[in-house]
Amino acid sequence: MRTSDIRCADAGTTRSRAVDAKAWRPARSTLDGGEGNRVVKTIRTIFDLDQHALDLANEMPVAMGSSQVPALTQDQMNALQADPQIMELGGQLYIAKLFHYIVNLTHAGNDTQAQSFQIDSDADFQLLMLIGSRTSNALSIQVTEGGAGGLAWQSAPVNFDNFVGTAQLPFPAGLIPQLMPKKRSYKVTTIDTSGTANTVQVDFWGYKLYPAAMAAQLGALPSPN
Amino acid sequence: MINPWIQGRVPGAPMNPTLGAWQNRRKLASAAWTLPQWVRLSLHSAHLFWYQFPELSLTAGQTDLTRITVTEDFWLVAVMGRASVASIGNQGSFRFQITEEEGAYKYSKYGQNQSNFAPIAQEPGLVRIPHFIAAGSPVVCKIQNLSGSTTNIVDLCMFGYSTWWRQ
Repeated sequence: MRTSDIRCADAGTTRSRAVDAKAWRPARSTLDGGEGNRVVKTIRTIFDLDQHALDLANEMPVAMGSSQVPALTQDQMNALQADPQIMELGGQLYIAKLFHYIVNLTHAGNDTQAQSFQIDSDADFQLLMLIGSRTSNALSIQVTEGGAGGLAWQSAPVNFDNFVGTAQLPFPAGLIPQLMPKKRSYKVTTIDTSGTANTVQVDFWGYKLYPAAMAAQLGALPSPN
Repeated sequence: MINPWIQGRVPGAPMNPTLGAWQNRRKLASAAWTLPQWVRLSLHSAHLFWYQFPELSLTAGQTDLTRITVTEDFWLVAVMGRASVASIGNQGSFRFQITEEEGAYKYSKYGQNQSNFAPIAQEPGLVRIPHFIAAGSPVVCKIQNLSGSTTNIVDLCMFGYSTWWRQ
């Protein structure tokens, strides 16, 4: 508990250390090293409550996984709130630029096709949605990482319609942020059982994440008001 | 009197007059029927994963079992299914019930129609709070073909997030 966090109810001034010594203290904990993170304030009027709420609001948003990364600085939080292109991942700020990775496959019928694609070397990619189109839904798909024997995204090939949505109704695979690192290759394999020609397109829709410092270079810096 | 141009302003954040003094300056979004933020935060760095039940080819009216084993801790977010036979009426063309053998936990009291529990990826029917399945749990699915005349090929899968590759 910090001395400066305790204010007198009547005067609104900071208490002296001597007064503070008699104040209630939370039990010491090995987790916080005895320095409790709790901010204790005296709230006497609705205006104090309002101020308290605003103070709390100013502390948000916290970094994702904030237990592992330091909290964002005030400047970072301001940038996060002022520009919708800015996003936070692991305590770092990035410029998110819309991007689609596309895989096209053509089946003659009752055959297996595979194609690889590689994440561009300029930026990591955050997968947001999976979209696709096909001629027939008698089609399974699997995605594996890297080269032969790479880790798979599924236990077995999944029916195409259970894997991708459409532009109108995309499948939100990136509900939990899925980072596809730069330069990593992915192999998309589709297995057709329709027996007829099947034209397939798979669309990995998401954002390229550039370091926030590259905003001007990317032409992503909004004009000042 | 509260001055809205001062009260509650985030220091350093540029004022955007087009929003109006009383408007919220934070990013605005309506809550969707999806995993809430606290769930997504707690699952950060989990990897997307599909558990695909082995495909069943069911003759008219046939019931059969298909099963998978969850290899890593898994948070189920959606069950999706696809059948070769078009929906019969509005109930779908198959009925199924999922059971976890570990503790024999059933996902439903009785079998559910395809339309009620097995959407496709276009509208996946996400749950708000993921259902946890521990690593090593076998999951069994009993599927009944509702078509009385046609063979039905049923693909069923569970989509969610796995601790696989969790850093």
